[in-house]
Amino acid sequence: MADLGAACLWMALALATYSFAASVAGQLRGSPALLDSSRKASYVLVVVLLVSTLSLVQSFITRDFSLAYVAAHSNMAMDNIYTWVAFYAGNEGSLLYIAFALSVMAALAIWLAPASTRPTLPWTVAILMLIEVFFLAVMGFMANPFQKLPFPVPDGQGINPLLTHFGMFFHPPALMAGLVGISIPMAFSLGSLIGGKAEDEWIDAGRAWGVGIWALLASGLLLGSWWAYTILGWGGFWFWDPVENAAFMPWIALTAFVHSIMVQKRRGMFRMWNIVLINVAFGLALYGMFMNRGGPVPSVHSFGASTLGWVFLLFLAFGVIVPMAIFFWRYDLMRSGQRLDSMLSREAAFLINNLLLLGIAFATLWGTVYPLLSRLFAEQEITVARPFYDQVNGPLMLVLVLLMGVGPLLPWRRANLQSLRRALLIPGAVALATAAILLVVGIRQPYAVIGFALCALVTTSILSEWTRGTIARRRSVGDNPIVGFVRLIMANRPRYGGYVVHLAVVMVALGVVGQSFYGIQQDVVMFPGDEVTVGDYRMTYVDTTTLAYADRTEFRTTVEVYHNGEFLDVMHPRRTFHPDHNMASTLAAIRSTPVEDFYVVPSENREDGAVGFRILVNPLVWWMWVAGPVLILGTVIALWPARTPVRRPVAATATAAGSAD
Amino acid sequence: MQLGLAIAVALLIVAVVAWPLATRRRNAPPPTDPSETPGSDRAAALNAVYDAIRALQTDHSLGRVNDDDYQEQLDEYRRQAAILLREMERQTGGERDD
Repeated sequence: MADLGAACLWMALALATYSFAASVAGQLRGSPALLDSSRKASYVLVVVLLVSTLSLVQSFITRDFSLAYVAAHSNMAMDNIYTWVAFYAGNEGSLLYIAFALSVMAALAIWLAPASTRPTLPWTVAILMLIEVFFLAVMGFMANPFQKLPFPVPDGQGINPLLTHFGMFFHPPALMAGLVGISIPMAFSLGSLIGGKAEDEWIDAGRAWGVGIWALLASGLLLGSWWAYTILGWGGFWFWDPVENAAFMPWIALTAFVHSIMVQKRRGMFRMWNIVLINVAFGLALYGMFMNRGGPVPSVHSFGASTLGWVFLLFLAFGVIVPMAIFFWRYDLMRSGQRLDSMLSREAAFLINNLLLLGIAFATLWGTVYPLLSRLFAEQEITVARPFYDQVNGPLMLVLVLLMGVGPLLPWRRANLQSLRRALLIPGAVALATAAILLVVGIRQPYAVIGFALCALVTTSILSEWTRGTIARRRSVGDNPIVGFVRLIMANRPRYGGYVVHLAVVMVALGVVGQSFYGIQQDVVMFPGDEVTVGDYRMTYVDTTTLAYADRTEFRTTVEVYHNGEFLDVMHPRRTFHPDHNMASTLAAIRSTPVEDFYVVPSENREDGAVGFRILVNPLVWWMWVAGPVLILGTVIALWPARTPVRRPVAATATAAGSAD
Repeated sequence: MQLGLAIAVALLIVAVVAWPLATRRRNAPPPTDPSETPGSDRAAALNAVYDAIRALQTDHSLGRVNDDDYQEQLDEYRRQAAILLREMERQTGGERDD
C-alpha cells in the first residue's frame, strides 16, 4: 500500500495548492464556481490524506521494511498496539499526522463557518491551504514517510522505548494537532483582515476554535507531564525543557486569547489586541515546531535526528512577518469605539490577566532563547534552569490565581466597591482561614501558604457564585436546587464552563505547589532485605526478577511499603534495557492518593544485586491528573452551542425581558 | 490494486473539484456580497445581546450591579435587541414579498 500512500501524498500537495490558488483567484475575480471548487478541494483533501495515512498504518501493520520510516520506527517484536504511536514517532510520520489533522480541522472550520465569516471565507481557506501546502511540500521533498530503502531489511530498529507508554497514545497527537490547530482561529482573523471585515465578524469562529484548541493543548501538556512523571524516572512532571516550553508558550498566549475574545464578544473592545494575541500564539506555535524539528536545543521531546530546522525557521519568519504586514495594512479598520468604563470591571480584569499571561509567555521565551543568545554572542552557553522560571513565573502565576478568584466576581462595565467587598467576604475569609490553619499545622513556606490560600479563594468564590446563583433562581422562578443549578449553568455556558475550567486550574496549582514545596526525594542503594524510611513511609527492597524478551531485558523489582508502621502495598517498579537502542527506560511504581503519592523508581541495577532507587513522596500530585477530565468537561460546557433565538415581535420580546427583572 | 485505488482517488479529486466549474452556478450571488448573510449575522448578534442581558440579570440578582447601572445597561441592551428584531422582521417581510 506504500505506493498508494506516496501517490496520495503528491495528489494532496497538488490539491492543496489548487485550493489555495482557486480560493485567491475566485475571490479576486468574484467567481462563485471557482470558490466552490476551492472549498470542495479542501474537503476532498481529507479523504486523500486519510488514504495516505491508512497506507502508512497498513505498512506498519504488515511490517513493510522496504520503507525507511517503517524500518526506523518498528520491528517484528513490536506489539501491534504501538502502531499508532510508531506512526508519528519520527519526523516524517508526524508531519503526515499534522497534515491530516490540519486538513480535518480546516474542512470542519470551513464547513461550519458562521455566516458572518462567509464574505471573507475564501481568504481563510487560502491561508489554511497555504499552511497545508507547506507541510505537504516538506514531506514530499524532504521527509517523505513513503521513501523506500535501496533493499528491504529483515527487521527494523524498533520503536523508541520511551514511547511505549499509554500517555504517548494521546500526548503527542494532542500537542501536534493543538499547535497546528492554532492556524484555524488565526486564519479566521487574518482572513477577515484581508477581506476588510476587521470588526467582530470572525470572533464566534475564533472563540469556538480557540477554546477547543486551547483544551486540546492543555490535555496534551497534562498528558505529557503524566508521561514524564511515570516513565522518565526523575520524579517530576515539568522540567522547563526548551521543547516543553515551546508547547507551553503558545498555550499561554492562547489562554490570554480565549479570555480576551470574550471582551470583544461582549463589549466590542480589544479588536486589535485579539488579532495580535492569536498571531502571537500562532508565531509561538511555529516556534514550537521549529524547536521540535531540528531546533538548536536537543531534548527528550524532540525529533533528534531532524535536519528540517532551517525550513521551519523560514516558515516561522514567514508566519510572523506576513500577518504583521497585513495587520499594519488594515490597522485603521480595527479601531474600537468602546473604552474601558472602569478599572474595576470584568474587562479590566481580563486585560490584567492578558498582561500577566503574556508576561509568563515572554519570560519563558527569554529563558528558552537565552542559552542560544549566550552561545552566539558570549561564546559560552549559559543555561537557564528551573530557579529562573520559579522566580519569574511563580509570582506571576500566583497573581493570576488571585485574579481567577476576583475577576469572576466583577460585572461587565463597572463594579462598585461595596458589592465587590460583599462578594469577596466569604471567599476572602475562607482564604485567610486556610492560611491560618496551614500555619498552625506547620506549613510555613510563604509561597506555599499564599498558593494554597489563593486556591481556597478561587474555589470558594466559584462555589459561592454557583450557590448564590442557584438561590437567586429559586427565589425568582422557584427551581429546586438541582434543577436551578443546571439551568444556571446552561443559561450562561461560556461563563460557567470557564468556572469549571478554573477549578481544573486550581487542581493543577495544588499539585504544583504541593510537589514544589513539600516533595521529599531520597536516592538510595539497597540490597535485598534492606529498609529505608522516607517521610512517613518505610520501604523494604524484596528482590529483582530478570525477564528476557526478544528486544529487551526487564528488571522487575519488588518492594514492600509501610505507612506509619502499617503495611500498605507491594509495588513493582521496573527498569528495562533495550540493546537495539542501547538505552534503558524505567517505569515508576506510584501509589497515588489525593493527599500524596509514594513514588519509587529503580535508577540502576548493579551486578552485585544492589539496586539504586529514587524514592519520592509528592503531595497533592493526584489532583493534577484529575484536573484533565474536569478541564475537558468545562470546555464542553463552554462550547455547547446556544439555542437559536426565536423570532418574536419586538413588543413581546421587550415585555419578556422586562418580566425577568 | 494500488494503481486502481490511486486512479480512483484521482478521479474522485477531479470529479469533486471540477463539478462546480462544470455546472457553473452562474445565478449564485458572489460570496463577497454581504447581503448574502445578514439574517444569520443578526441572529448571532441577537444571541449575543440575549446573553448579555442574561449575564446582566445574574450580576444584578447577585448584587454586583446596582439598580441604576442595571437599568441603564438593560435599556441599552433592549434598544439593541429591538433594533435587531425589527431588522429581522423587515427582512422576513421582504423575503415573503419576494
